[in-house]
Amino acid sequence: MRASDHQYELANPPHFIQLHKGAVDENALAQLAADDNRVTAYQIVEMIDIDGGDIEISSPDTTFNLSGSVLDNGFVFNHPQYDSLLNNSNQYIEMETGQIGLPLIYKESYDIELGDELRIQKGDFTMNFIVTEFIRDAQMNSTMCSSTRFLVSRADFEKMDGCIGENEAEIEYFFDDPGYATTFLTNYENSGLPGNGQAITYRIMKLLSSFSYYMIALIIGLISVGVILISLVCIRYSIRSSMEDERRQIGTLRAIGLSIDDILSVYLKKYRMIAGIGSLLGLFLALIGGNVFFRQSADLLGKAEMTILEAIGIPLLGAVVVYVTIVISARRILKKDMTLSILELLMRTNSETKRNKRFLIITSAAAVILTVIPLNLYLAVSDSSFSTYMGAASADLTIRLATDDDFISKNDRVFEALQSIIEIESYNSFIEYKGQVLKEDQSLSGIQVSVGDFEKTGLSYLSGQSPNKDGEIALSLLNAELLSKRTGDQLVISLNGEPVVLRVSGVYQDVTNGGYTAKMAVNPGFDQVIASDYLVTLKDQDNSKIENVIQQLEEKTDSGTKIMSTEEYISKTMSSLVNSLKLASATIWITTLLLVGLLTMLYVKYRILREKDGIAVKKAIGFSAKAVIREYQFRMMGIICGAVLIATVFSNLLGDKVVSLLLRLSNIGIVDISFTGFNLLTWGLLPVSILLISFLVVAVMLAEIKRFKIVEMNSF
Amino acid sequence: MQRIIEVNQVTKSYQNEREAVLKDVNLTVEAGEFVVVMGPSGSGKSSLLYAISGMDQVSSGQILFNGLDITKATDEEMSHLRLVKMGFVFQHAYLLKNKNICENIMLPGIRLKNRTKEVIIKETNELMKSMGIEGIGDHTVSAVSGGQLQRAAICRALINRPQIIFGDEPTGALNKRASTEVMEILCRLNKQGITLFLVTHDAALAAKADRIIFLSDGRIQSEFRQKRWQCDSAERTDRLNGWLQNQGF
Repeated sequence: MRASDHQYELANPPHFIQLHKGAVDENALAQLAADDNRVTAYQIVEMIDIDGGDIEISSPDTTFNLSGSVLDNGFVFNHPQYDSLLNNSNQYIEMETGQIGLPLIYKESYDIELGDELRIQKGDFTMNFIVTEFIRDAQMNSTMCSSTRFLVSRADFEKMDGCIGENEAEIEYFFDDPGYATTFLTNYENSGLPGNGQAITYRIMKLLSSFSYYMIALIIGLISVGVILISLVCIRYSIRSSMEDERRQIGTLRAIGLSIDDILSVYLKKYRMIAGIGSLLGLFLALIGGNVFFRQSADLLGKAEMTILEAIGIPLLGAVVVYVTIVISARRILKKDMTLSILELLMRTNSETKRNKRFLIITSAAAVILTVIPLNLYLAVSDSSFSTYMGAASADLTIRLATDDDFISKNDRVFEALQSIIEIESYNSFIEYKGQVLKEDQSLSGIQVSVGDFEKTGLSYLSGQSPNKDGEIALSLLNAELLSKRTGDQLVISLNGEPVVLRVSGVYQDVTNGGYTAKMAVNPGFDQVIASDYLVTLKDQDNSKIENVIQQLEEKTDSGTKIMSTEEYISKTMSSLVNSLKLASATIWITTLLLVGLLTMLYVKYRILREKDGIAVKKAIGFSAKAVIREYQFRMMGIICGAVLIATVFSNLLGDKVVSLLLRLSNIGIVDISFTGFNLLTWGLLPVSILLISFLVVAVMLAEIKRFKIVEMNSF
Repeated sequence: MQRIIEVNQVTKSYQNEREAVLKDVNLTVEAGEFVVVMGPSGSGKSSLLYAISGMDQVSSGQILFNGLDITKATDEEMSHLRLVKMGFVFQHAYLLKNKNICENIMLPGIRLKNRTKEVIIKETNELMKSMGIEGIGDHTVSAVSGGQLQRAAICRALINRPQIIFGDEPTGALNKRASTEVMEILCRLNKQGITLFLVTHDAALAAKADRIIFLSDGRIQSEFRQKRWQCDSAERTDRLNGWLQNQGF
């Protein structure tokens, strides 16, 4: 997360952006900035949006275009002070004529190399560039954003201006505090300034940019807690056990006249040395291992520049905590032993049954929780219904047509196209309006309201339900927070200066369209249209059929009509997150299996060695080796099965509550994630794999019992 | 008389040791006999005991227990024999620390599963009473004296009414008084018809046996036999000591 913050510090991305296509009144925008003392700066970034099909990239091996990308491709020149695009070394750069900087997310998706050629071509207009940089874009560095930016020189930008693509302005404002953006959003909307595109605040921008890294950080946090728990149990178990072995020796040392302090110093020296070596080794491995998960984030966000104190100090602090825990545990146990009389030290028998059980229970349960929750999170995120948690409706295709001068006729053509294509089974249409809401302080605030039948969109609600009658409105979480409304509350909107009371029917998460959205079933009288949206269901969801319908729609509708396959959209926008989670889940699974195998092996070995005499006695009085092994197997596997079962139920039924709680605590803008329900992997395969490895290790290690003989017993 | 044990040409070697600890040993034990094995340290006494009780493998030769060659018996078969036909008393009591005295004694009976738990408890109480330890059944292993522990170990050895009791220095870790008590118990058991096969350094205990086998360098060097009714206890001990001196012991 520090990498993300660091990149944000260097690039200075805006705290508020209003996208707008068409003419811009620069004086009015500057005036708004001047009138508001919280605004520290403002700028307009001109962008030329070029269709992916018009951008062709050639490497020595292959040539392809970007028509498959779900992202809008904006061409810009760089701005030195604010919203700067950075190179791979997090430095501000200017392109020379003929050079182009490509977004890093394309480098990964398309395997593009420096030196490849990029050509933009539409009709007679052609321009050629050489890829000389990969660009880090603090504003749009995730596939979860809807756009991405290419960096060209100012001269090349001017050559393209008016000849290709569509011009769009990013109207950017900067504040003394990024949190002011939500208040400013209202002011901006009330001011009547240009804004036919999305308005995006810093919070949503940062959420979209860093979402996958937040998720990975969340998982790593979760795993860290689990591993620390296991480690503490292991440390205490092994210290206690080895101290019990040494008890008789301590008794002997005291019997021959050594003081308690002498003995403490001898034993603590030993534990200090072991703990010191272990902590240093752990520190070294952690510094190497950490890079594996965050390699992608380091590429996209750059490495956070940390002070020496932070870079070495924080991991060192972790190692010191581990070291101190071990030494304190050893000291406490030793001190406790020192309170025993010499006779007790020499004669006392061990009583560690409870501790044995605790060790097995905690390690088995933690192993299940550590593997099941990340895998469930991966399954939830990669499931097609996950987009409904992010605010997107479920449909085969989505069509969005933003308002412009020719909106009505373009919209009519979309209607006609939808009716003429026989592969289309049904479609739902929504109109997005701009309205005004009366806040509690009686001030007016702008609000984007989408109107239509939302009952069948499959959108998940954090509370309440979709609006289904006149006078009901559902709010996005950000709007609900902004307006301090909950399900069932009343919300007053202003229509032609007259207040109209609505009831909040539900609250949903949304990161689409800037996140500040609302939904209604019936238009209460809004008249300022922003866009029209369509959710299209096909008769046959075969990939080639979807492609075919998209092609037909593109042919029958006008430019500016955005048509997307939902599945493709999800797979492409979520790919970085899904891949990261997949890698993390698989790594955790394998690591945990190894860890469980190792810990069970050590546990069984240690346990039977400690109970060697008892085992030999049992064999001497008529227990067969098989019977003794069976007894141990039954006892150990009973404990492991119980722990695994409880942990499986917990992680599957309550794991999403834990993740949601962590998301809430981390305040990243997503507060609820639900797991996908019954899944054979998380309910069956994962717990069974942990059971199997435990069974296997227990069986192999217990075979040692066959070799124990009464002849080799130590005296009691 | 029924022959319980027949040892034919038994040799036992341990890995990493050049010389065999038992060399061509031949031996028979009749039912109801009281046999003691004596000899210097390292002579192979314990190895012989563990070999003929099936607790350790031999390198070659044959050991018949009630006619069954136990060198070829499986672990399951051997375990069942130990459970039903054999009892063991060691130098240390070797009771399980996670069970109390009563549970320790009952353990082989519970394992055999041929009678109810109530019956086993009743028999345990009777055995403990006969050994003079009736009040310590619910005590932990660490809470009773060495003599009491050894008597509890004898109770455990008797719970399934074995044919033979093997003992490895059963009085070796006890004080004189406890040692005498245990010795008397063992003699009483032998009089009741239980075969005893003991390894000991204790001449007083050995003097009570029908037959003393002297082992040296893994071989049976000689045997000393005496009839129990021939003379009193002190005279038997003197005669045994004299014989042992002749063996260079």
